[in-house]
Amino acid sequence: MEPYEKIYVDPAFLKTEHGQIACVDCHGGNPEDPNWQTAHGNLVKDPTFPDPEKTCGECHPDIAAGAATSLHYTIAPIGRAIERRMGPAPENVRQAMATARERHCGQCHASCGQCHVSRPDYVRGGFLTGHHFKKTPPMETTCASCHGGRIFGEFTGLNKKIPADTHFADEDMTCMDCHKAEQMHAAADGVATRRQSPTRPRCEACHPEAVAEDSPRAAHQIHRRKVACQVCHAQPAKQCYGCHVGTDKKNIPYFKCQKTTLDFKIGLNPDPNPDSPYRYSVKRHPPIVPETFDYYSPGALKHFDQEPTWKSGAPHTIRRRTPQNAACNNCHGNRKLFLDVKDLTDGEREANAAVVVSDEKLPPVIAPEDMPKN
Amino acid sequence: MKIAVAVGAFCLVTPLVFLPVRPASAQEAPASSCVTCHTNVKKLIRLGWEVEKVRGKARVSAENEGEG
Repeated sequence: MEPYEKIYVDPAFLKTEHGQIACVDCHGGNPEDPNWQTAHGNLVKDPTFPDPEKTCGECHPDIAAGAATSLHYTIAPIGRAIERRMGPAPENVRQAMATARERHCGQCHASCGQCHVSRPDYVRGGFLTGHHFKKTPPMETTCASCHGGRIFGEFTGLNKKIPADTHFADEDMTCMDCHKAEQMHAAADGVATRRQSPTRPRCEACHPEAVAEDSPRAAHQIHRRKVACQVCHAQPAKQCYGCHVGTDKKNIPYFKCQKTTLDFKIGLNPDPNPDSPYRYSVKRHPPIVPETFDYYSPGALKHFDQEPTWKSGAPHTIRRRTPQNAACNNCHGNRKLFLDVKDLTDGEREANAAVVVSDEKLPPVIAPEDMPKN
Repeated sequence: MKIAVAVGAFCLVTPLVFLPVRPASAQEAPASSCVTCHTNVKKLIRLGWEVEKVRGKARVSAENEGEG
């Protein structure tokens, strides 16, 4: 995107409802000053961050109040995961890690404006279309800007030999068809992870028959509440390992992701509960290793083993028919599909002890006479 | 004399009838300098060059590696 395109205001925007608000009311600055440098002296580039209630909240108070603590706005679960892996660290370590989080993790938060008016800061901004406010942001720019490394490519079929998610390929659905505004704007005080958010998408919201006790499909009856939907219906997804962050000689933050694979691994659910009762779920490896933040504070993640590095995930590679659900024994007894201790590096064995599927916990091979008829 | 005055008055008044009449409040306010500049591509391109001279090009680390 050319620099001028990022800040070009479409004259038609000025005739819209939001265009009636004077520029200075939200952005500050001094429109009387002919010198662009001093005129932009006190400019507020994104008036919706860190306090959306002063701007958006004037007309949308309920949405702004919720959004201010939403997961996209605060990305709080990432901070909590780092805190758990740090443990009770001394003050100098905490300060160094605060800098690292601000420079790296903090780039991925999304304010109201970074979804509805411009591209996110993470991709260095720029209006979506001439400062027009987009009630429903375009997924290929807004969502893909931050989720392009893994989710967007999976969903749209950009990964070699892995067909696109059926919701995209066959039903023309967009991100927002499942991740609705109620989820995006939901207040998330006290929500530990996005997978515990009460407003997250649920397969059964659109497919109630699949989880019904009297489901017409035997496989659904047998695996009901034991196996997460993705175990049977997801394809391989991108796994990232070994991300390191730091600051180069010019003081610019960098990210180094050393290895990615397209993999499909089923693991144990370490914390079954009424909301997620499954014994097995699909796992995803987030880009974290014990040395990720060593540039800022060597060995800062002293309690790295506090949580698994193979986490329950929801690959956006859903198909009705997958290699593992084509026949019972494509999955049952198939060691390759299940997370093995051999899949782990030495540094993450303890962290994943509760999710690794040992040979004893592998679902057994089904004898032909025991196979269901449909 | 009366005819001359009448013709004169007609000539003066008639054009006024065809003048557009708009109340002052309905006239467009002058655009702010923010709008004048940010809706003009040429100005923004030139300004972009100036900004680049002062601040340098947008910076991305050459040390970035791998997929994100």
